[in-house]
Amino acid sequence: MSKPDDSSEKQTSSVDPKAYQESLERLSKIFTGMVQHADEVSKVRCPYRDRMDFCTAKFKCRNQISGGVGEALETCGHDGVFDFRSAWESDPGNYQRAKDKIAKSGQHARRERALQKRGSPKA
Amino acid sequence: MADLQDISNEKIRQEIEEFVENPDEIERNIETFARVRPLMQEIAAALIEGDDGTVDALTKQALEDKIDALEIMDDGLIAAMGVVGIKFRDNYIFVPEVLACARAMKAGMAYIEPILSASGVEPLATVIMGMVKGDLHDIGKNLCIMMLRGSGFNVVDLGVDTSDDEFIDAVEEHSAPILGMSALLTTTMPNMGKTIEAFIDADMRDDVKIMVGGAPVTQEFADDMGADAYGKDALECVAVAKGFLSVQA
Repeated sequence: MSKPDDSSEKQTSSVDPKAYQESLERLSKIFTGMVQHADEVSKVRCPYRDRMDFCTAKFKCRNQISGGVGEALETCGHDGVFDFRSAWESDPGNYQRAKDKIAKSGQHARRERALQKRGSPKA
Repeated sequence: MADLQDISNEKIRQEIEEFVENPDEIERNIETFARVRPLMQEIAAALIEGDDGTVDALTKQALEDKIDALEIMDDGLIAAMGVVGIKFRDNYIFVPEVLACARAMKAGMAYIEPILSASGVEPLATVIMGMVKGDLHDIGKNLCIMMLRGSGFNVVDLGVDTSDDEFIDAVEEHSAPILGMSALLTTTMPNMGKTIEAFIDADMRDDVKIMVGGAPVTQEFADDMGADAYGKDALECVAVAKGFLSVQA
């Protein structure tokens, strides 16, 4: 793609801020509807699965089925009837472990800062 | 009243015929596209296809032809997004296609933003967005970015697997007052806390408001990590970012 600034510099007209605001509100309304629908549809269909049923995720998933020859993307092999998010916290212990890890890294960082402060020469 | 045949672009005619079912929406889209220039229809057709390269080239061409920036935005980009919204709502396309269309919109807006700036219309603020270290699940973050851009924010997307240094460097480089971090896994979520600590270590914590989100993240986690705010979805992300600005003002 070319550098955007080239042609915009040649543009002489300016933009009416009020009209722009109205346009932005229209766009925001469209996007709001999209985000709400995305939330709904994601309960039954993985959001990485495109309309051709290819998986667009950049990570590995057990539902991926290797594509045929010449196909860059893998196919999503899930039956599509599920709320995939319910699977994310199947082990309640993970939650507590994450909480402990956050507390530990915070304590560690505070201790390190305190040590550095004590070790640094006074102004 | 305009007729479908009044739309010169075949792709747009096909899109309306094939995917728009509600009579009011058919009429509204025919009225819209029948009155706009053929070049705007071409831009719209490319955006609906998610073809960012063509949107880029055609927007550049339109501005060189002295077409008004707001006309390109309204009649090309936003009109097309309206069709994308209908197709998505009716399950003809899904999130990956919507995000491709949003990328195409960004390609066009990249030419319009300098004109907005020259007209005194500045973005609300710059927001740095990224997935934390080790996390590649970026679809929620990408929806947040789409919403933030659509609400007038300038967004710098650091992508996935972002290190503390990358977050810090980006905030510094863009003088961004807001940072958004997302994580989808309980295993990567603690890295948000580490990044916040890194900002304290770099003596930059007071320079930036930090919002966090992602499926396993809760308000409690956000508080434990020392984040300024938590947003449960893309709509809250925008509300939180706007809230930061009103506090700063």
